[in-house]
Amino acid sequence: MGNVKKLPVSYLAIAFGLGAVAGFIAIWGEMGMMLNNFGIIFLEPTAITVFSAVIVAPLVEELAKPLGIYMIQGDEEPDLSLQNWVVLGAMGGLGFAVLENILYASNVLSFGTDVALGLLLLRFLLPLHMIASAITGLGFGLWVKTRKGIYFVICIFIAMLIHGLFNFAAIFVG
Amino acid sequence: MTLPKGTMTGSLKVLAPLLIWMSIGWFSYPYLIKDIADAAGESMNIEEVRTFSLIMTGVCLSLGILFGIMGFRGKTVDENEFKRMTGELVICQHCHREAEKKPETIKCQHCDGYL
Ligand SMILES: [Zn+2]
Repeated sequence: MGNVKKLPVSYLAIAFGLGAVAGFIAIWGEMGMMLNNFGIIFLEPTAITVFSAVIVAPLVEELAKPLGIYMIQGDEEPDLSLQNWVVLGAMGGLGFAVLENILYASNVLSFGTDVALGLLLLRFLLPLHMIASAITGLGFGLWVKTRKGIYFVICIFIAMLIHGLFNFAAIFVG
Repeated sequence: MTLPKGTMTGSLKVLAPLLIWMSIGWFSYPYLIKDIADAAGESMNIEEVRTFSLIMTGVCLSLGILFGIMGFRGKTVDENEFKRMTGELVICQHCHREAEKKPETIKCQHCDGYL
């Protein structure tokens, strides 16, 4: 087969950890752009919030979440399977989401613990960041394997699109 | 370059459970968001949320099941296939640029010199 390759735990940790670092930086940047309080839920749909949540956030976040992936390939050029890259992508998304969810939840603690815990649960049940970054990871793996960067461009674009539509729905539905 | 058959199966096996996880999230979304909105004193159109969540539950669940079937039952590509397709990266003796050397193409893509 030649596909089933063991994924070192250190790679999983790097992908998760740098995803979390990216999350931390991105959230502080976005809180400055008024994406605070509920993290896009209950946002007033003004031009600036829609632009930030639907265009800027997906663009920046999808590029930032696979930070660990870029580093692993840059430093070690490991011989990983496509599935390994997908898993690493998902781990980057998980690290990012954990940080983002905790920051958003702590930000609404003033509304009560119930609200914060409810928001935490709601956000953990929607693994958007993992799915989007898994797709980016697939694109990255295809890029490494075929030496064609277009696969990465297509996949990260799909990830940004899904992310943008998700944020769009979170603002306008309900 | 077309990708060999079975390229996606391994990836679909990862995406399938994530999508099913997401479908559970969408299913519970209206209940959770209602509680949060009430507790925070926000108003919302819960009927619209319910409809949207139900659609998303269906979409994620269907995709999750489809990806699961394709991923777990489909043929998986031998990833050495990629190495055969892309060849080996070598430095051209003539123009000193990086060139792909494959069994069927032994000429440099830049200067046409033999690799
Ligand atoms: Zn040459």
